[in-house]
Amino acid sequence: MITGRILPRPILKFKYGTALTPIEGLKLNLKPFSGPSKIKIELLIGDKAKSNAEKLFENLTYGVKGYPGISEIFNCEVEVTNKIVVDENDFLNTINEISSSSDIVLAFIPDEMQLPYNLDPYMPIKRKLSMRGIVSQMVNYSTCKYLKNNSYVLYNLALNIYSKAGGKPWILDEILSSQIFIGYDTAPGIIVATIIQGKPPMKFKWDAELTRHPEIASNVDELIIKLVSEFNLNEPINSLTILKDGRIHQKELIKITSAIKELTERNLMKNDANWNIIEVKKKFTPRILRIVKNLMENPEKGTYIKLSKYSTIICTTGYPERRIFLQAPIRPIMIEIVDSKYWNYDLDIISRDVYWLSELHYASAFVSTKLPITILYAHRICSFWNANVKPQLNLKEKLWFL
Amino acid sequence: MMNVKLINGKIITIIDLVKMEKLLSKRFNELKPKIIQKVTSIYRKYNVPMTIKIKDNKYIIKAKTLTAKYYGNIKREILELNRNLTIRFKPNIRHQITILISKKPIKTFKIAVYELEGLSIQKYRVTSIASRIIHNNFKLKCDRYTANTIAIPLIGTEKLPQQLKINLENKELNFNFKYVKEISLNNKVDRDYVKRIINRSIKNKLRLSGHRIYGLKAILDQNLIENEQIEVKCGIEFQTVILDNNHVAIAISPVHELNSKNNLWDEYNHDPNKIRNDYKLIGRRVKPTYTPKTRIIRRVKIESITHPLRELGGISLKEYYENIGVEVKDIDDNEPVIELVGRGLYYYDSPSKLKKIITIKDLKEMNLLNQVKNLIQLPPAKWNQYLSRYTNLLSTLDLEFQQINFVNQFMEVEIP
Repeated sequence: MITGRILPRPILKFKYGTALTPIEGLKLNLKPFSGPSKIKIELLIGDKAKSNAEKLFENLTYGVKGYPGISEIFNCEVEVTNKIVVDENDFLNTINEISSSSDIVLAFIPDEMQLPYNLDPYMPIKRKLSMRGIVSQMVNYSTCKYLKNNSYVLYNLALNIYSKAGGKPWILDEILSSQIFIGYDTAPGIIVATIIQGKPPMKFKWDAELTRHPEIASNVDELIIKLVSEFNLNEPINSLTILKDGRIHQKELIKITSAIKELTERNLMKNDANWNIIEVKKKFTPRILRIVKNLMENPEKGTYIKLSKYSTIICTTGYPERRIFLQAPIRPIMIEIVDSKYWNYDLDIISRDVYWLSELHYASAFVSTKLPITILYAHRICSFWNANVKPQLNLKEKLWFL
Repeated sequence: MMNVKLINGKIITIIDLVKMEKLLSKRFNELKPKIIQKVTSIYRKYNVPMTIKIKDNKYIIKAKTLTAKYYGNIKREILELNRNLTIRFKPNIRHQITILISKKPIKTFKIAVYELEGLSIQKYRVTSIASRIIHNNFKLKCDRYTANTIAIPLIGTEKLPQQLKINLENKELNFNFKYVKEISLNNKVDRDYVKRIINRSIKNKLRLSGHRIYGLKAILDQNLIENEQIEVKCGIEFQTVILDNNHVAIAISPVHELNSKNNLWDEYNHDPNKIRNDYKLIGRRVKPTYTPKTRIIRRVKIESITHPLRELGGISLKEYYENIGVEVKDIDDNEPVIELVGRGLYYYDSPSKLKKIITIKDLKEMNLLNQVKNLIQLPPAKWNQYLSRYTNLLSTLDLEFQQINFVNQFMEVEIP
């Protein structure tokens, strides 16, 4: 009755080759899939961490043992446009001095809880800069002090900077089953949706709509239509998958299907286009235990169990990245098909696509994330929005929230 | 047994014959050429010319040209071949899924659907709470069906009232009988309804066995640690899953809860000024005692809990608590109002309703880090043992209109 298999790992495409993991592709010097040839960085440094921050930045740029440096990895030049050293209690007053000509602001700030809550600069910096359309990357004092020579940290920091500055380090080598994937999530007062192409160059965009309904994404239809119409597709959509983080309420479902109808009427979607609407659940899901010679381990990444004709559980993380349990076995995600145009979907393929979309998260070169990026990013933007970080329109194609 | 690398832009596969012989044992000679042929066919599939060398009991298959473009593709196929062989000849890997499956399919049943009259906002919340009240007041098993309807499973002999009247948050709510229908597990709305009915039955069973329920989490009301500052409690999280052929399953996993034992009012010796003056409280994560939601302290207000607050629509925090059904008899009128933030929204609470969330830093300072880690980080080998009491407890669920028996052990799934 219940069957399982291991889904194939995604092949990641870099500029000069393919690899199975991001770190392998980067270490093999395959160079990023696409991105800027020059990154303009502005440094904002708390005075108490000045020497450590400068050392970390030097290592980040020129490399240390096991890490060749941002320019070498990403084939791009790094230019420091401005450096502001600031009293750590005065971060907020200094933000206005930052020019908007740089691609990213690298801010070296005190650790969380080091300063009283009202002086903690993390959110205010994010808030103010994003309102001006400037992307930022924070680095804690303790990272500067203790991890400035750590290649693992430097790889991830470089990856974040490059991606936030508009780079696309890797994409999927194989084409996904849907031409377009849309993911959405809600938080009190807001709905955020993301859109990504299922084939190269895997263009990405996000947008948000305010909502007054506290329980459901009551105007998700408007957001979907807006997002698709502004996505500049060359041809009407022939297949679409819509994913939501958590349960899709009946009323939301009605709105989504009406959005699909309107997209068809506006000729943004083909009449016979296939579509699937899917819930992705990350909480309270059953665990899968891999038993090797009576020892329990995490299941292999891609392990997938079909629970019914509507739902599956998928291990989007796991062995070999996380072989043993650190605290508990990894938690698989559960997907459930809520509605479909033809109901002739292939659950194996849909599950595979959801798994593969989780490998496109550019925050770590070493471990992937649990959720597909379509809903992970919607979720992250919701969290920032709730903290009053509301970025300018020019950031709608940038990954400022990584 | 097989290793794939990219050196100077050329794909190299190394097949260790010693390891291969160990794995294939008697079938080594028969299968070795077939495996080598399979690997070379993968290279050929991508039009990658190669050379084959044997050195130190190793087959080395090296691409002749620069082939980084196909490195990911070739590596994936060769590693899959390697895994398939390992699973086939060394079948010591099993997979267990932490679900309990019903022995028989659930019988389909009829429900009576009632629609909520009026009310246009927060229907989901209202119908959920109303279902609980109807269950308690009318002794009718009941749960939310859609946003504005509730449904009662039918045994067949009951006489259905035309209207169900309840009082919720000082408002009279009427649910009017709409229709009777048969549940279909192919319908998402019906599937979700059945899950809710079963989840409610699980919650009742766990409640009766001494657990506190928060959503789909059940925590046993028993402290695992002898300490004056903290408490560690264990329990499970659960979820009902509908399988094919009308079988149902319960997914369960262990959970642990680590909390401060004392509320903030006790911790600060009932001194409002001490709370107001401690700047370290600002930014501290806390958990209200009446909900599992985590919040962050934003500030401690000068007003006490009996002062009317503009933020609460002109009523005091104490009155607000009474309105939302939070117990107020143990609250001291001198307690200051604490302003909290959670997911971007502001909340107000009294210190006696808040407990600090214990951090690793706190545990280190208390010298309890290792002791607590041992309690909450359940070693893999103990998972089955830990969950066994729950597999027994939940092996039978009585839904009143039918009984569901579950196989009381986790299922093993064959993953080829």
